[in-house]
Amino acid sequence: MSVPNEIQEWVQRMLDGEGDPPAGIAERLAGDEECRGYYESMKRLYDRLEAYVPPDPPASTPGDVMAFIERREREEHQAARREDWLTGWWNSLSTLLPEWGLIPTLRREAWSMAIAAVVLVWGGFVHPMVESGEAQRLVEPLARSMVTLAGRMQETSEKVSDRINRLADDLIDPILNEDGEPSSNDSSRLHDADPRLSARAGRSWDRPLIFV
Amino acid sequence: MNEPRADEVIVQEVLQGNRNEFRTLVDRYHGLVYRVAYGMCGRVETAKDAVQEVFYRAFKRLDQFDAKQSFGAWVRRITVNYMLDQFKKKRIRTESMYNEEGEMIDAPDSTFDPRNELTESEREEVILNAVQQLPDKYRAILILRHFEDLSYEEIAQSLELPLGTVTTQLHRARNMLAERLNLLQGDYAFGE
Repeated sequence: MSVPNEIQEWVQRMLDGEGDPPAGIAERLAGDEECRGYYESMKRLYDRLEAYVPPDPPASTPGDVMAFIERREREEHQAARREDWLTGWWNSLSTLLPEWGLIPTLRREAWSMAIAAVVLVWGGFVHPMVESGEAQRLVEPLARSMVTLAGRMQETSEKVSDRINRLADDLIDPILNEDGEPSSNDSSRLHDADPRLSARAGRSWDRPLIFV
Repeated sequence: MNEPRADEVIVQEVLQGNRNEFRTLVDRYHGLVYRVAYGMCGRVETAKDAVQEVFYRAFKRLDQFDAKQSFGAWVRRITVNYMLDQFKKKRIRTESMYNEEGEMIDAPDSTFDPRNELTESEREEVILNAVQQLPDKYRAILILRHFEDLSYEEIAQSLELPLGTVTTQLHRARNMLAERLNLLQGDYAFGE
């Protein structure tokens, strides 16, 4: 109960005006009810398709097309300039930095691989660990130790500063009079207290000693 | 009265640096590109975007244009290839109810009855919807045959397909369309 493919194709070719079927097919088309039915169905389809009128494009289309081309050309030009600029910088850096001894000479491919490795390590390990909270668990004790260490360093620094100030007071106070001026024959005591000042022996005070 | 300049003359002028002359080619062929694109996607906005992209591609590749063929045929091929490429990359969604092997993946819409009286615009909408549901490749061939009135040979050249493939795919496309539109009476569907 079906129309053979060959007949179907010939029906369509006939309707398309693409040639006449051979004698055997033409006879079957004329005599077979099913084949005639298929022909009628296809004829209806052709009529429907022929009646379809595709819509016209909006009137602004040619202007829009030209504006689009201009915009894309400009974007491409800008992209090419950016690329040239970056390439220029890269070439300059890759020449100068090794000359200045700042980085070893590496080929561009090696840098690309290094960057790719960093991205892989970040994407594969670090970022997932940060996302899952694993990184926080690992980093937390280290951060605590850093805070403790910083606290102790500040403490030590304050103690050292305090010691220096006290030492300064011990050195200065005895050689200053009530007005805060050095007394005339006390300079030798200063030299006794700090041997580094002995080099100034015999010279008058030309400016006050300042301990900061 | 001046004869309109031939397309290949205009192409040469554009290639020599007179870029504004490209507008003449756009004026001549934007309707063709729009019709093919609209037939293949059924959406005004997508068709408008396609026209812009197609002419931009034509402009960029103008030095590849072979003056032995017509500019219209060349730009039509770019249009079909562009649309098929967009469908393939899923940038344009199709309503196709057939998979890539041409097998139906959805039941026919039984709400359409050809005996119902429809207005002209409703008929056109029904036809266009049915065409949209064809597989992409079949749809392209059907549009070139029926909406652009190309011969089998011209379609084969346009899509760079063997003539036999065009004949077979056109045959299947029409059977699917007739089935979709409930135009087939009896068991004629595919005869396979």
